[in-house]
Amino acid sequence: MTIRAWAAIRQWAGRPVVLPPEVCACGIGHAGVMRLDDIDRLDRINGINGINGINGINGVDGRGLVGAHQRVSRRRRPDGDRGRPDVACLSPDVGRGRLDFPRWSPDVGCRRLDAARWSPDVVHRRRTSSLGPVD
Amino acid sequence: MTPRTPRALAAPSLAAPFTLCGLTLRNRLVATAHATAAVTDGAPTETDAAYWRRLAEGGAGMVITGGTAVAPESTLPQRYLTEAWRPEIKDAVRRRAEAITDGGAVAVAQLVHLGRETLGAGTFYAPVSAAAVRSPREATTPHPLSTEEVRGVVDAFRISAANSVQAGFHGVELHAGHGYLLAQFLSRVNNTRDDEYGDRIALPAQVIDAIRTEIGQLPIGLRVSVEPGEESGLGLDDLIELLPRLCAAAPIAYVNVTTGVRNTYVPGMATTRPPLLESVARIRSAVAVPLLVSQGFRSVADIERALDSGADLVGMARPFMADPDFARKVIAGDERSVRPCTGCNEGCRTFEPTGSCSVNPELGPPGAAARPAIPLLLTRRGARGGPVAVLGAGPAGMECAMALARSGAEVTLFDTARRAGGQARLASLAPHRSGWQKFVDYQRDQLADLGVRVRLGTSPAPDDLAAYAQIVLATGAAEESVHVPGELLTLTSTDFLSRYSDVVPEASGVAVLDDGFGWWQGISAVESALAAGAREVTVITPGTGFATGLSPENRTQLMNRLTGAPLRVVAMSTVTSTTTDGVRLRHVLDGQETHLAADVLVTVGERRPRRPDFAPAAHQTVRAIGDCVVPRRVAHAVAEGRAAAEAVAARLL
Repeated sequence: MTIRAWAAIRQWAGRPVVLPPEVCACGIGHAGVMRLDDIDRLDRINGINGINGINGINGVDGRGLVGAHQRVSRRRRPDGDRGRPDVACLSPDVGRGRLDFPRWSPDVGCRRLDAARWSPDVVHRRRTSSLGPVD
Repeated sequence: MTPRTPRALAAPSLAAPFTLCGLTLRNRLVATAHATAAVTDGAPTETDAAYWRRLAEGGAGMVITGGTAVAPESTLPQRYLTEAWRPEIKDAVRRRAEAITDGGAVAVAQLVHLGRETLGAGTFYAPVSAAAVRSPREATTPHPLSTEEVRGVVDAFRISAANSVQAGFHGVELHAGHGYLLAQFLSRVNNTRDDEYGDRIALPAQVIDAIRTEIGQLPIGLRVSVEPGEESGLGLDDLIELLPRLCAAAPIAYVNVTTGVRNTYVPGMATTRPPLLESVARIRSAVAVPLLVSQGFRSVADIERALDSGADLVGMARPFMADPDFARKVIAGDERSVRPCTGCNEGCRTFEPTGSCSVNPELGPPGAAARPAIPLLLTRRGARGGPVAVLGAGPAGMECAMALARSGAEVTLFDTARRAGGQARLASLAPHRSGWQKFVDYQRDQLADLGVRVRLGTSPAPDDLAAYAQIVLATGAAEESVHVPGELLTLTSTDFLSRYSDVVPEASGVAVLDDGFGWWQGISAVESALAAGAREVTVITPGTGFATGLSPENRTQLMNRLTGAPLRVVAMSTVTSTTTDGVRLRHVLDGQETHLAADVLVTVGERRPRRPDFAPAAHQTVRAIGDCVVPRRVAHAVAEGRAAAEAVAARLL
């Protein structure tokens, strides 16, 4: 079941998302971000109890999906409390092929968030010119 | 050399071959230089080679690679510029050159030294220039190169050119435009030297001579740009004076003329015709060498007119990113099927992580064959085959229907609106945003050519959809109204765009409440109000400024357009209520309240997904794409449209 969850996340994180450090608990800043209600939606979309099926594995409010990032949670909460975070931060290892879980479904989908619209003050666009195409 | 006069005889068509230093270009279309950012630690990657191969295979006569620096002080910290002075990257550069020559094009490597222009990224080194003259785009004055250091620059170009040719390039192009180092020496304002390089052509001439000792008679081209403003010291009159003198001092194979400096050199949608088109004949009369003109060419008519005015070659870059088959298609007389560059300057200029294109879903990041996209699968049932229904004729739905039709599927496209285009069409209603309509027109024409049934102004009932086992929802998004209590006429930016010409004459003072993201909804409300004659427009934003979401290029052009306009910006503020004659503002930091006179308030609200209340039947598989999943950019819509078509087609086989 964990593999299913990871595969779903990996599908979801296949698109690069620039993440503001104040949102990204791990501070790495270029993984993905998922609200808990999106995780709920992921459950519904997949029509299974898959995500909930890993409840408790990592001890995060019964939502192992989030808790899969224990390292992240610990860093965000130095007191060791891995209580329910506002966001799930996906390690860059996910979606970059370093965690090689089997593909689960070629069609898995979930709602994706555009981090650039997370807050008015967080727009992580390149501010430089790029030597890209001109003519 | 004797300057040529404009051609009196019939001009060659764009399909005619051209001979350059003994090399045959198969036609007159040139892919002009640009970086791809598919470069790691200064060396081009396999992804980079694949990009150039695809571009060359599309039929351009000559392909000029860009983003190639000649010295460490001209690189960026990210190191996505090719470091041409390093012989150890020659194999990677060879892969790039071979990709172009395998595709049948003449391969030219453009070489650049940025000089005082850091591109806003900063470098690990001190910026340098011809003299201690600050760039208007930089906060500090550069280090003026000593005579000895200038000779080092000459050597850097020589070594880089030798490396490039040894790696398989047919020739090199010196970038002496866009305000970079060679242009800084050509400028009468920036070059205040009193040594031998005070002669403005001395450095480019020495560079050309030095390269000639390495590469013999292979082509050395020179790119220059007509730079705006007196402060550039390098306008068209300057170039007309300098180019004949430089060509006489150090012969070159061709001159490539474009426009602009950093932040102005990538015209957006507001530029609808090639800026140099009217100047081609004058430039032609000044230079005896083959003339390549670039910037803003998008149509066969404009290309032919440039050739007719005396140009030998016409250059483009962004149109080849939007459609690498541009050359092949227009030469075949099929201009209608060219996927058009809109001039949005979104994907191609941001390098996130590499060059992409909003309208071309086939241009993916490293390791991906296309732009990654995952349609949202709402229901999956067992039925296969049969006709497909696509609901929504915006960029996502039209792209999906096009791709499905090409795969052989029987597809019907529905939209409740009477005109196709969705949010793209809405955006194009604003002044200077017509590029989106070009893309809508392209998609609409393709659907007609492919025989897709399009039902506009129709909301299909469940019974109408019963015959479709595969349904794709592309129903877009709707802007939410921002609740502001009070009496003043208050419109969403969507409503305002649809009727601003009716509203503004009755409302001379327009207030625009932006959402703080500084994107086009608020900007287009401002430009629409001004175009309709508003006496004063005030932008209120909880953010720190106006148009902050735009790329530097688009923002600079916007500000140029707005120069002289009665526009006020109230930053870090929001609107709490309206009165009969204005709005009440509150500063987001200290809470201080003020009153602003206005006759209408335009609000920029969040766009929310819009999906039909639709219960799929037992046999129906339903997917959702584009804004009806999460409202985002056209690039997402187009890529998800294509990906959904592929997923559906796989179920039909």
